[in-house]
Amino acid sequence: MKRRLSILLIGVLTSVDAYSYELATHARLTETAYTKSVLGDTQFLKAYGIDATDPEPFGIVYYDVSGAEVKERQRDAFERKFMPDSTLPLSVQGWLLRGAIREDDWTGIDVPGCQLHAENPQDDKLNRPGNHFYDPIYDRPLTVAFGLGEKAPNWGLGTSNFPANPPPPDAARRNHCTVLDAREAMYRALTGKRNGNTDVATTKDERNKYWATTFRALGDVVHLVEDMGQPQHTRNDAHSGVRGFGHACIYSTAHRAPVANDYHLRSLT
Amino acid sequence: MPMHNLQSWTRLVLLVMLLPLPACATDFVVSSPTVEGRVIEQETRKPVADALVVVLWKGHAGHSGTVCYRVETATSDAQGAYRIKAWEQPAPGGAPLSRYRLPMAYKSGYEYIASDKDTVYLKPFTGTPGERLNYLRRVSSASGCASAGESEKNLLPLRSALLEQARQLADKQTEQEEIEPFLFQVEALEFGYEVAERRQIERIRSRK
Repeated sequence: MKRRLSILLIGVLTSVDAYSYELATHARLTETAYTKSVLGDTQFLKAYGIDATDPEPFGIVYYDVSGAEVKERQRDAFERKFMPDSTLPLSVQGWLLRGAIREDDWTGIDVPGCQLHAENPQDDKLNRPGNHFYDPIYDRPLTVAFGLGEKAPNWGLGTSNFPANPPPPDAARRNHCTVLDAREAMYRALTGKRNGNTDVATTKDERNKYWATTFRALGDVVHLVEDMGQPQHTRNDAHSGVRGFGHACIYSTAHRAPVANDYHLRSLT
Repeated sequence: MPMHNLQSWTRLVLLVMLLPLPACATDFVVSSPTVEGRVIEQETRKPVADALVVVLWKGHAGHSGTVCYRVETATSDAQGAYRIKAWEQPAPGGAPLSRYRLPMAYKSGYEYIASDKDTVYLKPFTGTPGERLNYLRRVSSASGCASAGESEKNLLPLRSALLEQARQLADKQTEQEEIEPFLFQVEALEFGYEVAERRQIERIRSRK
C-alpha cells in the first residue's frame, strides 16, 4: 500500500497540466478551415446571395435566439484582437472566427481565496469551456467526481441525446450557438421566416443579421470540432489553465497545445 | 481495497490537488524590475544600434492558457544596449502563473534569430522583397499582445515601422491590399479597433 501511495504521489506531483488551444490558435485553425472549405469559394456563397468579397456583407449585429426571444448583440473588439492580421473582421470569415473565439467565453472564478476575472464579454453568463469535453471510452463529459458540463456533442448539436437519429432538440439549452441554431438562422436569413412560416425578418437588414448569426454560430461549432481533435478534451485531462484548479490528472503528460504567438516568434527564425 | 483505505486515498489526492490553489489567491499585481539587455548580430557578435526591441510579458491564466499582459518597447543604442523601466500593474484577469518575458527585436535589413534571457540576436536579412514582406507579417503576428490593455499602445513604433517597410516592399499594383493588415494595426492603436475597422472597410470598398 505504501509503495502504491508513493507511486501515486510522485505521479500527482510530477504531472503537468495540459493546456487548451489558445484563442488565437482557434482563430487560425478556423481561418484555415474556412479557406479550405466550400466557404472559401466566393461563387458558392454568391449562390446564397452573399457577396463574400465585401468586407462587411452583414453589418455588425447578430442575434441571440432562445425560443421566441430574440436579442440583438454586436461584434466586440475583444474578438478582433485574436484574429490573424489578414482577416477582415466583419467579412464572412470574420464572423466565423468570432464564433470560434467566443466559444471559450467564461465568467471567471470568484470564490474565497481565488478570484480570476474573465476578459471576454459576459453576454450569456456561461462557462462554455466546461462543455467542450467528451470521453468516448466512458461516455462522460468533463468529470471531477461528477460531471461538470454537458457532453461536447450534445452541447454542439443542441440536444441531450446525440446518439439518437435524429438527435432531438433540447428546447431548454443554454447554448444558443449550436448546429441547430446555425441552421435555423440560415433558414431565417434565406426566407425571412421561422419554422412554421411566421415572418421574422422582413427587411434585408434583418436577414443579414441572421446571416451574421449563422456564421457566428457555425464558428462556435467549429471550435468544438477543433477541441475534439485534442487528446486532453477526450481523456478528461486537467485543463483549467491554473495548475491544480479544476482537476488534476495523474495520467496527463506535458501535451501542450500550440501557442499561436510564441509559435510565430519561433517561426521568425 | 478496503473502503477506509479508499477514503484516505481520495482525501490525500484531493489535498494534493488543492495545494497550488493559494497561487491564484495572493498575487493580484504583476510587475517587472528594470530590464537591461543587448541586441547583437549573431555571427559577428557586434552590437546592433537603432534596433526596435519589443518585450512581451506572458503567463498562464484562465482557461485559454497563455496571456500576454504587458508590452514595452525600447531602441538599442550604439552599443546595442537597451533599457526598459520597471513597472507594476494590476494582474489581468487575476494572477497569471509561470510568468516570463519574451524579448525580440526588429530592424530594417535584419531578421530575428533568437533571444537568450535579455540578449537578442539578429542577422542580416538576405531574402527577396516578397520573403521580406512575409517576414514582416510574421513579426506583426508574433508581437501581438491581446491582454496588454493600455500598454498595447507601446507597440505603435513597431507597427509604424512595419507599415513603412511594407509600403517600400509592396508590389505597386497590389500595394494597397498588401499593406492593409499593417495599416489596420497602426490605426487600431491610434484610433481604437472599431474606428480602424470602419476605415478599413471604407478603403476596401473604395477600391472595388
